[in-house]
Amino acid sequence: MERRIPIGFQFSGSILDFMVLAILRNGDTYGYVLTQRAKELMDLSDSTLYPILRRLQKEGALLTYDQPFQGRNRRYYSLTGQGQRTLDAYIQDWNHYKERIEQILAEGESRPQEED
Amino acid sequence: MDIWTKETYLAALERELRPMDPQERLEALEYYREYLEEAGPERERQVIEGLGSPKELAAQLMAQSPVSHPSAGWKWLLKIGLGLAALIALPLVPCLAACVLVTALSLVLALAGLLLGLYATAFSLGIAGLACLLAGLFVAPQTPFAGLTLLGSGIALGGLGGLLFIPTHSLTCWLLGKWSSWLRRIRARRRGRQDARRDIGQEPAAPQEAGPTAYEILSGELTAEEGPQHTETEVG
Repeated sequence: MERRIPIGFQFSGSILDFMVLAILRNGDTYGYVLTQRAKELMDLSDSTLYPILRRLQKEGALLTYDQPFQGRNRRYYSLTGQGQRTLDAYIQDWNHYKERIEQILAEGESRPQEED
Repeated sequence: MDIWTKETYLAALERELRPMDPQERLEALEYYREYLEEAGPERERQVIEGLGSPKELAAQLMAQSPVSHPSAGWKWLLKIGLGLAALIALPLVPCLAACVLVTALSLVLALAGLLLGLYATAFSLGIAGLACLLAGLFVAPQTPFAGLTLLGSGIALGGLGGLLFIPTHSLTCWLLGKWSSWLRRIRARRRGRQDARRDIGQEPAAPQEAGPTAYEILSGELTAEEGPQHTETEVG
């Protein structure tokens, strides 16, 4: 199920790292497909992902390999062990964050509205 | 240029990326060439529009990637060179230091010797003058002319001694004064440097972090074992 995320919550900074790693967990892919997938889930421009991919690669979370296709070259990105561990950390951070927010929302619903 | 094609766009991008580190530039151009080729001729224009102008894209990429500093390479080489030179020169250092020390010491001794000689000459002239004076006084009643000669010689010798003594002594005093003020300055500077070092040593402690976060793992500070056991993230 894919839906547009409201613009109020931004996909930027570390969330984008998180999303890129999460997409790659499902399988290696190359820049164009990765961007198209990401664009289905969030508002992205075509140029956004490259710096992130490059940085994650330099930090050791991703590795690349080339696969020729129809006379051109496709560079595939793949999660390394470190990338996997980083993704796990993000997931844990995210679940914790999500719990906190849902906790606050749940409190807000159960408690009666206070008069000013 | 309003209408870009894949090739003109990539050529323009390459030009705009010139300040970038050459390896980085190559990687970036390869990525976007692949990207545009994947898009295919049908979506090429759409993608080019999405990427922004080559100038904008280049600015975006260079903001996020290190720009090549040709000077940095130089500095690194210089440091290595100096390090090697220092290593080679290391056994020579005590020898050179000894030479410098000995030269300085010998100069000081030579000066001291000169001054002492001048003092000695002055004093001996003075003593000789005094002796002549006394002899003259003793001889004068019997042989007045001899006595006068001796007196005169005594005064002259004493005068010469004095003439020699006065500049020698003032020179010595001046030199001693310069030396003590230099020593004082050295001591003050050394104390100042120690104080400064003490101040710098007191650096604020790094802020305490409650637990490993994804960023720390990504920056390679933690291994899998230490990994996400306890993550405490701040809300807001």
